[in-house]
Amino acid sequence: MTTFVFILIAAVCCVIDSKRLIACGGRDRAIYIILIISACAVYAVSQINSTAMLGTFQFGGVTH
Amino acid sequence: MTNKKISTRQFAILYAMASTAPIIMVIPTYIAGRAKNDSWISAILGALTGLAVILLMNYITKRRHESLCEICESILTKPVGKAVEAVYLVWCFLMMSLFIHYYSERIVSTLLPNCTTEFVNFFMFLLLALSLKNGISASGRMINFIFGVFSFIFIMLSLVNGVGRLDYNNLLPVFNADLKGILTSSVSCGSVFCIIFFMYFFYDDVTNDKGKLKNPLKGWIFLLIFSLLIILSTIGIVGYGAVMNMSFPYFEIIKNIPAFAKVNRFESLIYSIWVVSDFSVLFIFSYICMSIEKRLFCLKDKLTFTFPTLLMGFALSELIYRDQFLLEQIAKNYLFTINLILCAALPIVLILVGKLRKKL
Repeated sequence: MTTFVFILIAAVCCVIDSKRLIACGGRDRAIYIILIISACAVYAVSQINSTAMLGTFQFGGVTH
Repeated sequence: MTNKKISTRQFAILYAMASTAPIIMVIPTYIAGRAKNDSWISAILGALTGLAVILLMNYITKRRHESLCEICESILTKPVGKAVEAVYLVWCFLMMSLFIHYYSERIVSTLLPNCTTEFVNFFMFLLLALSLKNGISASGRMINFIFGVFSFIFIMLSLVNGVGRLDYNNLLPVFNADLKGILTSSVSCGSVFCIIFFMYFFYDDVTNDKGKLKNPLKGWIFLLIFSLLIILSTIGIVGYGAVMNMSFPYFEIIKNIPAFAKVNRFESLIYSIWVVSDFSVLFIFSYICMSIEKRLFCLKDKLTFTFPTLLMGFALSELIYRDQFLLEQIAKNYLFTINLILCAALPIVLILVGKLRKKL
């Protein structure tokens, strides 16, 4: 799963929760958004990390 | 509000169900190498640690029927309480991501070899989100029902497996291994039995009924029986030497029961047990994280935070536990020990400070 798909899932989650979030206070909304953004950032970092740790590189469409 | 809460009986069943997956994972693999023939003694010692935590927490909650967050803030003062909550929130996220990783790795390496872990994780994410959004009472009732079926299948499989195959020489003589080996391996077992400690973070969602001590003790006894059955079914049959070198000893041995030799695909029944137990442990840790978040950040509704909590857990599992070899080393050397210290230290500190400050 790419980071883009993960961000897409996070966006869908935000849309699903939008009604509840509007009813909640400003603090709840802020924490919610911070957590979602942090999760996306963590996932993005994990993707970079895994590629670097494995030491893989693509050459001519073949992963070595 | 009462119908949104769970009873102490459901609380105990959640504990027993949630601890079964880590016990299946931990006991044969981590104990066999160190405690050898005395693995069952290690399991009993580990269980005693869990019993001590239950008794300590019962002592606290008998005087204050509140969540552990509220108790911490009240006894240790608000700033210290918030700091303690932050530490436990980080730890619960780490534990949650660990169990997510174990779940997906196991499914991919046994059932769905052509799938990616992300694909397996996505469906667990959906399942957890659906159940968490309905609150703990709905899932508490569901797990309550499943537990009967689960226990029956588990005990029957263990009995069928053991009849005629159990070799007592694999479990005797007593104290064949050195005492250090028995004690160090009991740490991993004890840390699993102590999972109940984290469940007190949502104790405000449990009704204040008469079974406060009785029901968690029943859950503990169930768990002790489960763990002894797992030891008899694995080390008791093939010996510690073979168990040490197996990836999933319990399931590999159960799959080869002679009585089921002609029944095709019956192992799916075993995997269903494991997935249900995995779901329970992930559900519990997600709910604990949400409960701590609610108190730590002074939020209005914890169920709104289902998606961010789950996303964070799944993202962390990708980040921290990417390397299987590293994960096993971390788990063996640090995770279980730190988990046991965190579970045992806070109740003792709370009781001591509570007595000094006359808050308990």
